[in-house]
Amino acid sequence: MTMSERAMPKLLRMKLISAILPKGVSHEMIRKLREEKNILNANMNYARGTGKLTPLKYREKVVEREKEILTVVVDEERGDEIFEYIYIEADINKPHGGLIYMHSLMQATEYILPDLSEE
Amino acid sequence: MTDASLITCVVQRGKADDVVSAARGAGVQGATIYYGRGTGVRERLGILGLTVEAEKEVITIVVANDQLDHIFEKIYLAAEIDTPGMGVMYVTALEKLATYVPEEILQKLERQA
Repeated sequence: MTMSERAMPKLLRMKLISAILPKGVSHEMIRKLREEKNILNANMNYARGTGKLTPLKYREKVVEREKEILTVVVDEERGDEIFEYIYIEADINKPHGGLIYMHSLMQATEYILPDLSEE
Repeated sequence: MTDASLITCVVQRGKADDVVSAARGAGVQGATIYYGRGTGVRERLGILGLTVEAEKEVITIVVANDQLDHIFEKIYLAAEIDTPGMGVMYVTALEKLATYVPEEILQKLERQA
């Protein structure tokens, strides 16, 4: 494709879902998203999490743990569905399960996989 | 949960702990820190750019909207964002937020309601 044939594609309104997960959870979650929800684009990076211990009597004690940040960009219509799916499947609804949040993206490009059919 | 926002603060490497301490003092429960690399300073300032560390720490903190302004200000001052080159911070509104809430805290909230 020459420079003159390239043009900005139509930008889409999408949702960004970010989940802060304990170490070791993201890889399995990415596999499940691909196989069960047909999500082909998910990112994972590592982070350092600081937080307070759960029992109220230990609330003043701070702990640091290694975390994995899973980010997924999805179509606007699928935002709630994928949000709930990750919340349940990654055990975020259990103690020390992490945190998940979602917000809108005003503009986002679609991630298209290259066509490898000739190989 | 609703009515929450995400504060993101990008500072020079080594400053994150001071920022997180200030945020905890303001009532924040937890923070996430990861690493990045900043570009642009060296190109703009030349040799003077060496005074600004290119390696960055990115801190993200989820806060309730009624505490947002207070915590934002505490982080702003601790990170010295008003000093050129020290960093940048911004707020993103969250549409949805979910986590595990311990039973004892849920019961406390129900009693208050």
